[in-house]
Amino acid sequence: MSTSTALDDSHLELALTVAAPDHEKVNIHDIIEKAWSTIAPSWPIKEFVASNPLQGFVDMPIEEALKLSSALFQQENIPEPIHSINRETIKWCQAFFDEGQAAISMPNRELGLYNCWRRLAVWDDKLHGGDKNKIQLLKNLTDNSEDVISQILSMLKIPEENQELFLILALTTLPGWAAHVKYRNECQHDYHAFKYKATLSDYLAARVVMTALLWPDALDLIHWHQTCLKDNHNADYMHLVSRSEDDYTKPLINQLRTHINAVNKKIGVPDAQFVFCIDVRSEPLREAIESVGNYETFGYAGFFGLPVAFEDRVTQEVLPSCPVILKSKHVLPLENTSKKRYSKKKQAKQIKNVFQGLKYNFTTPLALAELLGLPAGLWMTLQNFFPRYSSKIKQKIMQPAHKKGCCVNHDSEAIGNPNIETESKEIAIPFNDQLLYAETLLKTMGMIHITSPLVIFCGHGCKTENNAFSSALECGACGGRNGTGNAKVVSEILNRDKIQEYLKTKGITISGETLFIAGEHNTTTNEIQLHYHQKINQEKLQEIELLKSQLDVSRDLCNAKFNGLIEPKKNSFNATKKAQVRSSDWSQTRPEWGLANNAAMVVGPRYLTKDIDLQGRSFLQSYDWQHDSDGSLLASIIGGPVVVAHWINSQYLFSSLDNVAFGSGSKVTKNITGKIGIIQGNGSDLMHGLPLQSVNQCDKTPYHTPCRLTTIVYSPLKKVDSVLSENPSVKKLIKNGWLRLFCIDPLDQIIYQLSRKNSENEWIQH
Amino acid sequence: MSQELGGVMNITQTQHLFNVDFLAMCMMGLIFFLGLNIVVFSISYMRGDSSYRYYFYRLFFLIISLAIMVSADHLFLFFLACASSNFFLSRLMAHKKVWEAASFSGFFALKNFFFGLFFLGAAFSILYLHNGELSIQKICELASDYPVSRTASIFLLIYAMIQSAILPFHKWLLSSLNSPTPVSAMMHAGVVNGGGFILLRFGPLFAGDLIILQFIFVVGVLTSLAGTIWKLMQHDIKRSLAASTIAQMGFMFAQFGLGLYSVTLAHIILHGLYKAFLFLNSGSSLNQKAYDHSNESLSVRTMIASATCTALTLITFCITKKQTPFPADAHLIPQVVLGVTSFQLASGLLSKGWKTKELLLTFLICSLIGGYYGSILFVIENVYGIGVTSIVEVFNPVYLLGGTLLIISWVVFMYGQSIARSVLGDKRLDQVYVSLLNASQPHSQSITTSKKQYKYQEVT
Repeated sequence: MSTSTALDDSHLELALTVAAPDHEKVNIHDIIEKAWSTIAPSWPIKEFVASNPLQGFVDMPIEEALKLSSALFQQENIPEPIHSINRETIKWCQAFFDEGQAAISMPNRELGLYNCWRRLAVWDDKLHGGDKNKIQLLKNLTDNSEDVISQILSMLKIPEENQELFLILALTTLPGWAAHVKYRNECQHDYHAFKYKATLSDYLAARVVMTALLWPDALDLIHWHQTCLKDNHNADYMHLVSRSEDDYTKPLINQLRTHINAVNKKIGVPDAQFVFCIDVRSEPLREAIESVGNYETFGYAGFFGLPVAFEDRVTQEVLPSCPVILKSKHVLPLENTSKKRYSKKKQAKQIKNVFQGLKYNFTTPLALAELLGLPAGLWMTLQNFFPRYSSKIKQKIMQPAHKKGCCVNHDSEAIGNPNIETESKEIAIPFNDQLLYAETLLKTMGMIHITSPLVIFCGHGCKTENNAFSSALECGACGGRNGTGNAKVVSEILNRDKIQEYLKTKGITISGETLFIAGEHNTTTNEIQLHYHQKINQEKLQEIELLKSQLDVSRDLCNAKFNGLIEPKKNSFNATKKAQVRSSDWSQTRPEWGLANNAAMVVGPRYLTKDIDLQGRSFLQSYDWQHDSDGSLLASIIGGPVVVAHWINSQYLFSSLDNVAFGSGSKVTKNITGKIGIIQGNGSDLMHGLPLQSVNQCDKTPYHTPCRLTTIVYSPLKKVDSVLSENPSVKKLIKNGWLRLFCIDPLDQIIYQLSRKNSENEWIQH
Repeated sequence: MSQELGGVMNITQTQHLFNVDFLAMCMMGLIFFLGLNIVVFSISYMRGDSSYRYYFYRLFFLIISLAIMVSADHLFLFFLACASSNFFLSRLMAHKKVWEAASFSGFFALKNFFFGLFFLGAAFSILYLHNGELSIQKICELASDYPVSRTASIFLLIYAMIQSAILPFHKWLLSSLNSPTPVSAMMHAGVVNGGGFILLRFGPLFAGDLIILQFIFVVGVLTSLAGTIWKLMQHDIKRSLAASTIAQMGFMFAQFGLGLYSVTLAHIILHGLYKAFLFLNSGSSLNQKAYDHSNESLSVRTMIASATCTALTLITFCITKKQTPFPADAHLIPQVVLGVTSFQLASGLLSKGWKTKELLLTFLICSLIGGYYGSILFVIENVYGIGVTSIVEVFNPVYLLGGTLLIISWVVFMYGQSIARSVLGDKRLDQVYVSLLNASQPHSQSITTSKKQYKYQEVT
């Protein structure tokens, strides 16, 4: 190590003899905890969960947070020695956090991050450069990561008042991996806990030891940060942001104002009712569906209120299918496992394994390449020139083995059995819970008298090829997964006589004619695939057939609108075809725009927003305040969907404000590490957030308009006010300017906005 | 004086500019096939990129240079085509110059290529001065004089090794992954094969020289082993693919070193297609988990069945290729590799229990792959012709050792991991792991060590 001076013996002695007394130990624990609070968790790429990258700063006003975060995360010139420290940290993190890329993996991982690293670091001459003192230091490290941190801090002569800041900087100079460690410690779900532990202090310990080895004068880091804070003349984002917010929300609010008086024009009995996810992508399709027939649509968080997880019986993987802020209570089978299907899936898995066994091996890959050369070339050509056919072929082959997303097979007798008591075991949701979920769901949306012959619950998912970011396009309310499974379960529950009987006692009537079926909204092509029993009567089948043809029309309309075609009738088929090509093209980096341009959330009945061109930028949550006497339904909307929408919104906001610091960068040069995350090129910090192609039209032109979420609630002010008082964390978000809240009071028909000014609930009239 | 004049005239003569023989046609077919696929892939993949147009210019010139290189007969033209393909490749690698790490990757590769081009130039000068010929065809016909032609072939070999990222010149390829994905595909499928192609093009120069061939074989096998172990240790998909390319290039060199020119050509083409696909498909790698071999065990019954499958593969291979099984010459080694693969395939398919039906199916699969591979080689061997059919008649210790290494490494990895662990001891194993991990890192300057140093925009 030529850049760093060798550690002298006095340093070493200090490092080895400073025994942390008990009170100091507690102290360092607090400091570590506090330092970590600046880091927001980042989910693995497979279950991309949108989150606010500045989650750690929501306690301060957004303006201040942006300033601070620019000093912490957006510095281009970091001190030179940090580069080599980062390089080694990246190397070891990639090795430790690997989830199945390497066939020969890092040894001793069962010891946990710090102790595993400690054992290997002794041999790493890139860390100690052969320096005997440094090797000795590494050899003498204790196995307790917290002790080591305090020892190193005193060895580096970091004054006590700066220790927290120093640790913060140790994290924020390599924010991506820190965010992954944070996720592993605080956010991973119970079903698939990572095998190898990496505690918060483990990571920091390894990080500071590397710092001490490669940069004995690391105290300078503090000075560097102070100068960063001083010459912080970052572009004023907030100016830009609030202008673009006004561009969308001002006209929207004005239009809503005119709609308040519009009576809910009941269209008689609708031919079908649809319940979509609140996702902004549902809105244009809902509008299209409403325009082609006598249909009514609703919006509800796409997990339909079911805190469930699905288990793949073959791989034994359990995947939660509800928002990450909830814990899934019930585990259902991913698919009904008829014996034939099960054995087919098993076979497919084994063939895959054989292939991997040949690929990740000695000697055999040499012949494998020769054997697979021609087929690979052919397949490549097929995918390049005939993407739609190749994707169909692929689906045919893969179907039995791998059906994307969650899927409960409807033909199954177990779930189709009308006897609920015995069945509740099979479906794994106790009867009482089923009742509760059904009641809450219908009441929140105001679906009190269901007379329509068909009610379709549409979960959604995307269909893209060769897209590492596909989970970012899936249902956010289902934890970054396809929501069809939830739709199937909820329609299954609602179809039950006993449930319907019970609901009647609660004031919800469902006509005997009504059939609940599940739908799958493919957000890439806007197609809706319906899932229903084959055994239903002929009449219903005809109704469904008719509905299907109408759905095709609305699909074309919706696609045409989004392709920007002026004459939808003439070109609508082309628009759908184009969408299908995008969906099956393996080279496509922008298969769909996802939730880009999201800007507002309307909590209220659909008639309020009808005939308003929302441009696919609004989350629509159906809510009827008249059926929510105690405000509990509103409270769960404010605490649930609004928070999730705010996370999604922040993810898009920050990914577009600075796609390098808060996004993943261009897909063009992306690389996937450890099956968990994106890095750029040869190696970089773990990239978190959305890729450039999700928020930008091209390198220079943005597509997403950066703005904060504006939530508009249609409910008496009193109710909103009391709900807010009971939910301090959401109130804090609003007060600090991370989220905006409007209330349209149906009683006095005035529009209020919650003021940011003081801590009380002060409302400004508009 | 008149000789010099003749030389000048030769340079200006055009009739010997190109030599479109079977080798050139095969390579051109590969290059245009890949080129077309990669261009089509790039059209939507690169859309929105601020250097979109330059990217396609460069890609176009790269493909053209490669096509000229494989069909050139004139030394000077050949050299120019090599140089320009190297230049355009390095420009494509540094797609965004503002991104320092990428820019460095391009520079680093170019530095290596310059070094190689120097040796290529030296080799060509020697060949020209010695033979007074500029036509590669004629030079190859004339090749006889050992000391001179050996010097030239050593220089050619150095260029080939750099081009194909053979140990110890592998670092540029491991550091090349800052390039856009389709560039990596073109690089790993097209450009790195340049080394193998040059060896084949100047094949007759090497043909009689057992020492050089043995040397090529040895570096080939060593590169192959190193590349494989690095590949198995990598944690990101692209570097894993890069290490795998290094292993494959090593194997290709080993095949050449055995004198099996047509097998080498087959490997170049087939591996090119395979690797290009894998790179383009790398966005899907999330769902493909590496296989854990650690608790592999085989029952005797399965072992016998798998061995039978192996025999079937080799039999169909030998029948279709019109070759004797287990020959006492160079042909044995490709057979060994195929046999090991077949055994692995069969034991994998049968590992979860089997009855007659499964066994017959596995028999069928194994016979098919043997026949399939054999027929490919048969076609190439018969059309290509100059396949210096087994110049290595007598099996010598070098080849024997290389072949054994290929088998042993597989056996140890599959069935002897715990034994290896206890023999080496935990500490030694840790040390080996760390040193291999460090050896497989890309050049330090080609890593983006701070997020904000990554840049996608040319002008900020």
